[in-house]
Amino acid sequence: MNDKLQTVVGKTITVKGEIVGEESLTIEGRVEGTIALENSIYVRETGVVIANVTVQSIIIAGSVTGNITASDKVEVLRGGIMVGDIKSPRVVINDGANLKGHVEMDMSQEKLLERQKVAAEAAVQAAKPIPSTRIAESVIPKISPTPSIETTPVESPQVPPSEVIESQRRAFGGILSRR
Amino acid sequence: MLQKPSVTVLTAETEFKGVLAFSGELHLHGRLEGTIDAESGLLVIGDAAIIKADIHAQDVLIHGKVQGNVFASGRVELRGKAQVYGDVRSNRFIIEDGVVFVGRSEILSERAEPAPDFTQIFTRINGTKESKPSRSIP
Repeated sequence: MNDKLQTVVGKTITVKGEIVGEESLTIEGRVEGTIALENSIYVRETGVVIANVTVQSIIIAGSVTGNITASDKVEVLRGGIMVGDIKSPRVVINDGANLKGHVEMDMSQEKLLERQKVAAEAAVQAAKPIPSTRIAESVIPKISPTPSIETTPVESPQVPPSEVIESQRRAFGGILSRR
Repeated sequence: MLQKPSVTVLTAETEFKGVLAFSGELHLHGRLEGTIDAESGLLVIGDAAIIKADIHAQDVLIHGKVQGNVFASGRVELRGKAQVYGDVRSNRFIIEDGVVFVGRSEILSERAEPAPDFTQIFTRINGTKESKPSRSIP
């Protein structure tokens, strides 16, 4: 960390406008506007951000007002204040942190990949031509007409995560299995 | 630390539909649909549990799946493999890494300490009696 110089918005610095870049950023001062970085942001205790933020990951010990879209992770540390909506596959709120807003977590990447794998396999299974040797007819409908969560993304394994969540939500429909 | 009150457990083989009220500590490992009402209770939702309910409790620890809104005067913790779809209103809110949460979060820090009631500050002076004219000092 020490051998690599980092961009720091110092305590007495105020930036208004747009910040774009590919390297990580530490904010100790004030930033107003928008931030779009393909790396990580660290908002220190003294940092104040009033901006919509698009970033890989962000750690908040100071204050952020605005919406955050992170491709990896959002973490609000103790004492950190986050007001706004968060969209990120991973969100960590530590004890003593303040969060007001909507949070949307996509399924974790691992699970998504897992599901895609299952879906792909199911697709292969479903697409397999029925061998000419006779198959008991009762077997066939079991494969195709029951689209479970795993088989829905057959055509496009790149299902938008929100759809996965939707299907999860729907899966709650009849939770009482014994009624 | 207060002495731990007795714990009620609904096991993974339990299914419940309706309004559930309790005080003390309740561990849910089964399935539940309805409403949970426990203004002074601690609710622990195990990782196998599936809950479809609005939850009112003092403290809520969630490891399982919850669909519904959570209101807690104390803290709400989402841990482990928790999946929560709904809004959370609490005094303290903790989300661990790996949890899935889709919903709104609001911290009730203002409401956590209600403004003290000053309407009846006297305990010895009876407010209903009209105040007598002040006695003259002999």
